[in-house]
Amino acid sequence: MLGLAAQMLRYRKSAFIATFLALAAGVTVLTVCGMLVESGLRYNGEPQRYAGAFAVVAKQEFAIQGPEKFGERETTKVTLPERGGVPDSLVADVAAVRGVQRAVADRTIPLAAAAAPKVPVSGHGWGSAVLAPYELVSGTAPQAQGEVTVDQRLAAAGRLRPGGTTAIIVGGAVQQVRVSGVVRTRNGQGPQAALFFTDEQAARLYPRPGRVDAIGVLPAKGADRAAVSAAVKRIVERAGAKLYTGDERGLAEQPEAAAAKSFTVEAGGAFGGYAMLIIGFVVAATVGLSVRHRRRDFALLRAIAATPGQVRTLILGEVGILALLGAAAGIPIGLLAALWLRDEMVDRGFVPDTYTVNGGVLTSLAVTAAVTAVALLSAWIAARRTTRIRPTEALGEAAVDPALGGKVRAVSGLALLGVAFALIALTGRAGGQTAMGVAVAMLYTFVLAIALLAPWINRAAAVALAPILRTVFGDSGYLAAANLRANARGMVAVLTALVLSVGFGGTVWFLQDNLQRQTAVQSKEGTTAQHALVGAVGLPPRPPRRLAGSPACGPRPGYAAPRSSSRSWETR
Amino acid sequence: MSAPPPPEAVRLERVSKTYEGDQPVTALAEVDVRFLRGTMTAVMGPSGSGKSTLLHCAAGLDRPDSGRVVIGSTDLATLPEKRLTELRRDRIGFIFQAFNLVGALTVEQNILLPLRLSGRRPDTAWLAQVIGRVGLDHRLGHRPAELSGGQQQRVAIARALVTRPEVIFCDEPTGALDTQTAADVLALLRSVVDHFGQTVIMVTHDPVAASYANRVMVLADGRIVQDMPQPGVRRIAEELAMLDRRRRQQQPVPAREG
Repeated sequence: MLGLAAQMLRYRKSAFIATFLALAAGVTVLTVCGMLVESGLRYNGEPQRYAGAFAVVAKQEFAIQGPEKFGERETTKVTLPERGGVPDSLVADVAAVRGVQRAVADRTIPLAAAAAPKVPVSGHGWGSAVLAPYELVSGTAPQAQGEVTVDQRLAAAGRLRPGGTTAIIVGGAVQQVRVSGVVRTRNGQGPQAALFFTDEQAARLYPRPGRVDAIGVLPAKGADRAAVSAAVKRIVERAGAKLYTGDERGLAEQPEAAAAKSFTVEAGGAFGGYAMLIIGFVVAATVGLSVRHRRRDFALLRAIAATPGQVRTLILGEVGILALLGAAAGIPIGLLAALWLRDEMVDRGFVPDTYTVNGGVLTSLAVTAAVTAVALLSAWIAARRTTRIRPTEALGEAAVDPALGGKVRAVSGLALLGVAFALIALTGRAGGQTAMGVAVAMLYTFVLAIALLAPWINRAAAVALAPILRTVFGDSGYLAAANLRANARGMVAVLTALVLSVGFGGTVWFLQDNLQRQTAVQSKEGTTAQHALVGAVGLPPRPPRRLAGSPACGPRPGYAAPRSSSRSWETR
Repeated sequence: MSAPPPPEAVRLERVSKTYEGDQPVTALAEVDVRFLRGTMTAVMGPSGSGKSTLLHCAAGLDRPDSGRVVIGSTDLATLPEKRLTELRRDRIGFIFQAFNLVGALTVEQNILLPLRLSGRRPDTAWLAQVIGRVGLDHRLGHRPAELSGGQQQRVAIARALVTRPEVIFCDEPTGALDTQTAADVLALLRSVVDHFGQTVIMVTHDPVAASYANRVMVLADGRIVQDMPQPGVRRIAEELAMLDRRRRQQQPVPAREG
């Protein structure tokens, strides 16, 4: 039967182009979404400063409690690109675990080096140098409060040498420091150059007292690593933090990477879900249409020789071959598009530069399987209909177009329409995530209802539009209306596809729009200050006196901490 | 099958069929008829007389409301759809008015289609004989779209013959052909009966086509009103004309095509 199917495809190329294009385009879109998810899952940043640690403790997920609704409180977990979530009391707890040789706290201090303003730098305590590990190239480790050790990258860019002095800006103030030594690591270049203070100095400069960014775990020689990581995990998870091992250490080191990871996985998954639904409908529609157009062929086959099962196999074979061809065409395009998308996302700052498009085999297989399954399922449904074709239809001069549709179709369509309208009311009452969920459910119900009622809608549209079409387009308008009226059922696929694209496009677009507006409103309400003073490397502990009396500030300026750190992230 | 085959290829016993609708139409009313092996029968009648329904029921394409259809010694009423299809494929040949062939397949592939679908190997000697008889030796690699109407009907005849069926059913086989081509095709069908001992049942409204048959049956309102052995063109035409006149004198009956 497959040979016969292939021959049918070759002979009627033009008839299958629509189906092929739908399948190939679907595969392309899904491949892009799949690559986002797969790359995100495989992406862990690059462990550089923590490469020497066996495991790293960090806390990057923050739970945000929403308002209470229907007696339930919604909790949203957000991965923030901020550091400093781990309580410093945890350091001693981790160090006390059997098999742990040392637990090293790391504090990241935002700063800028005047000698090399273009190189992004972060400050750390010298104790954390062992986590990379960094080794001294020249000079010594920082010994006193005014001494720092710099890595080779910063040293080269700022022409720094042991014994020299240089200016750094930290905590909103300029400081003169003496360079005590230069260090290097074999781990390759991370996004930021490193500068080391003494541990005491680092703790003093660190903006979040009582907390640390991360704890590096160095196991004792000969310790059972699995047992150590299990024990440490138990302790840190009680404190709400997370243990990162292996490649995941990169996520602990670069919170941006963790944020990018969850962003790409979620975005890819969400888009993929929408795309899958649209593809399902469009593929089902085109496959159904192509089968319907060849009723006579199938009726002839049924009359002379083919069992219903053989006709079904033939249709499934045709669509299966088409789906594989579509995958063969769509996957390479999708992979290229994924690479392009990666560059665009890096340019726009959605993901850090270290984000790479990874894998592809898994995505390709999954997408091919998914699209083939959808295509075969819709072919099977369409084929079920054709096996009900009476063989005698082949004998007639012209295949009779079937009636509009059964009572079951009409009743279920009307019922779904009712449900959809009920959901509109519910959407208005609910709020937040619930409203989002109801809105999406409402969309699905509307689409299904329209798809089911499409024959009658087409007929009604034809009747209503006939005078207009005739006036505007003359005879061709008259013919178009007559054709739509007579062929109302055949045009179902067209109407459904249109409703889908418009419906989904509109919903996704307007939901985003509303969300954005709401975020802006919330952010405005959460900020009482008229002006905000921000600095990439921190602000001095007291507002500069020059601000006092300025028209923007009034006589007594003051700092107020923003109420929630998540707002600033959402408004980014 | 230990019992000797019955002398008739197809037997209908009190077969009735009514099409439901706003005004139910009785297409067949208790029709009793036997078609003998090695004969050619023409089934005639005006539009709506039930002649196509008779063909569909006798060939297992449609199921009667009541009565029995027996092909060889198989009762069709008890067969499920799949077995019925297999019976059509292996023991019945079909020739329709048009759209007989699958456009994607070559002439040879079209002829072999029933065998291919049943998974049987073609008998090459028989195949060569059939192709020689219909005169398509030099056209085997062509597609139906490259053939004339007469040639397409020859392919259909070859396809019907290739399984050595119990009976060949033809529904207006010359309806779409010009007079000369129609004569060639009818002569071919006749020779199939004479040389291979085939049984042919042909629905037609053309008295000339019917004159090739051994026997001509005329249906009206779902009943057999005439059953004539080799009546000749003139006699057939007269019978039909008379039937037509009688019908016009009566109340106009809701006509149904087929």
